[in-house]
Amino acid sequence: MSEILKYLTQTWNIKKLVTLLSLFVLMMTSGLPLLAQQQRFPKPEFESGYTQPVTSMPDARSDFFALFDVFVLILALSLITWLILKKRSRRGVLAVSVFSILYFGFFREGCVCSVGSLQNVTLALFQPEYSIPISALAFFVIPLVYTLFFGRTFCAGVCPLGAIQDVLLLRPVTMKTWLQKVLGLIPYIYLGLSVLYAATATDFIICRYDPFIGIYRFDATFFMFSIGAIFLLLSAFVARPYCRFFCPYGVLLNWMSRFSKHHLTITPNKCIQCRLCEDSCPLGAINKPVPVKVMEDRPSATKRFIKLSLIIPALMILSAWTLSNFHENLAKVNTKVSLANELMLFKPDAMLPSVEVEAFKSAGTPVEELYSEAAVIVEQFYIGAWILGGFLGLVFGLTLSSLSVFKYREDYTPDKGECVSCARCLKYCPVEK
Amino acid sequence: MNRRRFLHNIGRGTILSALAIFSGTMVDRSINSEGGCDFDFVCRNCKKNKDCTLPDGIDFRKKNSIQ
Repeated sequence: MSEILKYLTQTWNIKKLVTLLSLFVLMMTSGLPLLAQQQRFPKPEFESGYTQPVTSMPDARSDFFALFDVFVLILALSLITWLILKKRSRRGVLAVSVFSILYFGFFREGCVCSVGSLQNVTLALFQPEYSIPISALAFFVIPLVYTLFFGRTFCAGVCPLGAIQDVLLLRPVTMKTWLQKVLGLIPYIYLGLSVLYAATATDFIICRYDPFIGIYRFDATFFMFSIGAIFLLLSAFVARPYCRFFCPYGVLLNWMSRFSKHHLTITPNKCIQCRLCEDSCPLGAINKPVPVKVMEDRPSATKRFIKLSLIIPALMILSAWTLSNFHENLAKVNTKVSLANELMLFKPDAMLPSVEVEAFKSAGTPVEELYSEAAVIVEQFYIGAWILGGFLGLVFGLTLSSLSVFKYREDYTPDKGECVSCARCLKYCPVEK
Repeated sequence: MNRRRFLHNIGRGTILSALAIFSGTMVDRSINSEGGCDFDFVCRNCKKNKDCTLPDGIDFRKKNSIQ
């Protein structure tokens, strides 16, 4: 071995030897495997005639069909209103309900719907750069106008969310009044939150957590499908659980219906006090007559109402202050705020970055810019939380004070706000036109 | 007309007026605005691109005509 080395050093200079060895190592490590790979996987031929598919997005509903939907809505509303008020037909209501489930539900996949359009309207009100589609505006306004004149005929069978629950009602159970009152506060909270999140352009929570949309589209996640299934199962025993205890648009319709000019009446003529309709409403939306002996004298009732009404401002302030303390928690739903929060708490030495943090860093946007944007959004939430808290305080206060109000009634009448004009009670009335 | 009915009529009229004013404003804004983007500023395959007045749309048309 020593002889070989001696021979090499005599005939080759050491620099030449190192160069040769380096080239050999380089070929072994890169050149040869590359050659081998090229042989194994020949370069693809792009001239084979294959064309890359064009990346495409789903088409927006064309203007014609968007207007056609509005036309169908008006037609369905007019028909169901005529069937309820003139024909007094429960069968007709059922037929329109089935049509709505098929058309607005399965065919149109629950979009655009009046319940969700509430968020488009809010966004348009608070974000001037957002231009609301005419069809969304029409779906929001038209049912309100109809309700203002004819009661909640939209809920009766045109709304696909209400219709699917209504047709599944098999054995309605009566709920305690106090429970109905308590659960009836949830839609106000839901309405307030959906308005807050839409106004701050954070999210459309009504659409995100709609329990029936996933069923209509056959694409629900397991969680949303479970929620939808629970609601549908519940609908067999509790009349319209989503409409009564969740629907935020129902709150607006409830308010409008109180002013309605031609609301459904149980009896087509003079009430004969037969009491047959007393328990006919699965929603408990029939006001019973108040016997005169139960009636309190007017001055003491007024005095109690005033006393209770004084609690309302206190409740509003308390509720607004409480909610304003949680504005940062409410704002965390916003993606910018949550990202800014994550970045603030992120420690590169001790933590692995999340996908969001990595994506933000690779985009190259300055962190300060994100922080300032997030601060503006948090400020909006602070103001929004005060308003929302005040609104909820007002609702709680009014609910409390309304419990002490006794209205004198001679006949069985539908509660204009709660009644969805489903026409179930009509067949119980023996009085002819 | 009793007092309750009178108040209801006033309420109904007020709500109707508010809805009409709001709808009118929104329709006006929708017609006179430069138009929002339906596709989150992905201009490729957008049918409205040839009439689009948004900077992204104009830019996309320019680039396409060069190619």
